[in-house]
Amino acid sequence: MPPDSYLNKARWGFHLSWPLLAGMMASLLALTGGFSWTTAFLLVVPPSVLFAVNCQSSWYLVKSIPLRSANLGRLLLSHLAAAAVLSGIWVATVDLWAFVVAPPEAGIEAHLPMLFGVGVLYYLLAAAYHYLVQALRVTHEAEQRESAASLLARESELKALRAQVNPHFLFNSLHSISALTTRDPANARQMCILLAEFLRNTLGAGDKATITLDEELNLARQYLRIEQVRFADRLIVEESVEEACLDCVLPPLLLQPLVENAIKHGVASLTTPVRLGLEAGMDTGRLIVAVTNDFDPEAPPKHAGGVGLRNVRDRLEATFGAAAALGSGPENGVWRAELLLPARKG
Amino acid sequence: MSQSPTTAIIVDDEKPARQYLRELLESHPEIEVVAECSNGFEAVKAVAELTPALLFLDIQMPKLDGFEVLELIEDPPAVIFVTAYDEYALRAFDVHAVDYLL
Repeated sequence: MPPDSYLNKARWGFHLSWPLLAGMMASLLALTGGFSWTTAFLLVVPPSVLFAVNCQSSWYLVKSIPLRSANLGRLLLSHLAAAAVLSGIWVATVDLWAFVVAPPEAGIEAHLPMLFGVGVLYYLLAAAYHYLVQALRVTHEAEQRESAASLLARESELKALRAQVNPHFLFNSLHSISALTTRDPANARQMCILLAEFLRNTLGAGDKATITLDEELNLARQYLRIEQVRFADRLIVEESVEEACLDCVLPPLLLQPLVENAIKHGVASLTTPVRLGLEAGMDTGRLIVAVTNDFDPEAPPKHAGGVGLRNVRDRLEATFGAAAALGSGPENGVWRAELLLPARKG
Repeated sequence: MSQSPTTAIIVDDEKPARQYLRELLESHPEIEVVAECSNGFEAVKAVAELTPALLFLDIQMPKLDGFEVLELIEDPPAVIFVTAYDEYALRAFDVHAVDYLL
């Protein structure tokens, strides 16, 4: 719901309340002040309308001093001040208006303090009403955000599940391994087993909420070993991993899309050998995991918009909110995709 | 039926794929593989130097893909596309390929 609709809701409160206020005031004057009913109403109604309209301004004061954040003293003081000012204006208006409308001996002056008091109360009531409307709005928005988040989480879960076993990878690996079967059967068998291990680990990891960084890196290493059958000496894997962060835990298979991207945009697009770097380290309570690769600066830049990276970003957002990030871009002549997460130990 | 073997060049960026094709061709003695190329640039050069009768050409290769290689070759030989992806099949007909192997 757009925010203004709540303001509209609030306005309805006024349309209903100012007649009551006017009626109450007029009755008080007529019954206790010795005014005729006609005079009383004539006297009170127009300034009441004005006053009620002025009290609508408490909406903005309420928005600027929300109940939760302000200290109570400042809140009360602000509203009392506003009440006093607006009520003072109202009383002054009534006095002026009385000069025009009522006979001078009616003695409206005696009732002005009472009117002032009622005015202050009315303002405070208006402010309280506005706080109520605000609270309703906050709750509604929170509910909406929660349902959006859970929807996103479910979508990400599905995508992560689908991303666990990349069909192209299976396809390519099996082709490469089949090519080994006649001329290097021992290696072919080894690669088949490695592929089976990789699949088993990946599917197992996907079911867990978190895995250790060591496990995640092992998955990446297995994947790269299999890809090395396909690329041979075109793929050179380098590692720079801090021992201390190996037992950090993180959601599974966040590294996988980064490695796949590095292969796709690095190795598969260059005719010369490509270095692929795996880095991991910690820095002030954050875990930094990065994949770097040589790349072709002349190739069309489709790096940033990959579906795999978007999925990683969504998963990071859903799990950590703003505390995690994925950065991807050229740095010192290589392409660097970097995961930044809170460092948590299992 | 030609007396001397048909010369052929294999072009694929992945070594296992080239080796596999070589193996398959071993059972066809009428075809002699005179060169193997791992990228498009090597392929263009080799075709110009060795003028093979047959070209086994991969499509997905870095920098120059199979179709671009064909564009760069003057008077290209008969082409058999060898690739893991089937989405290029229609385009292959456009360049009058002899065959398309998956």
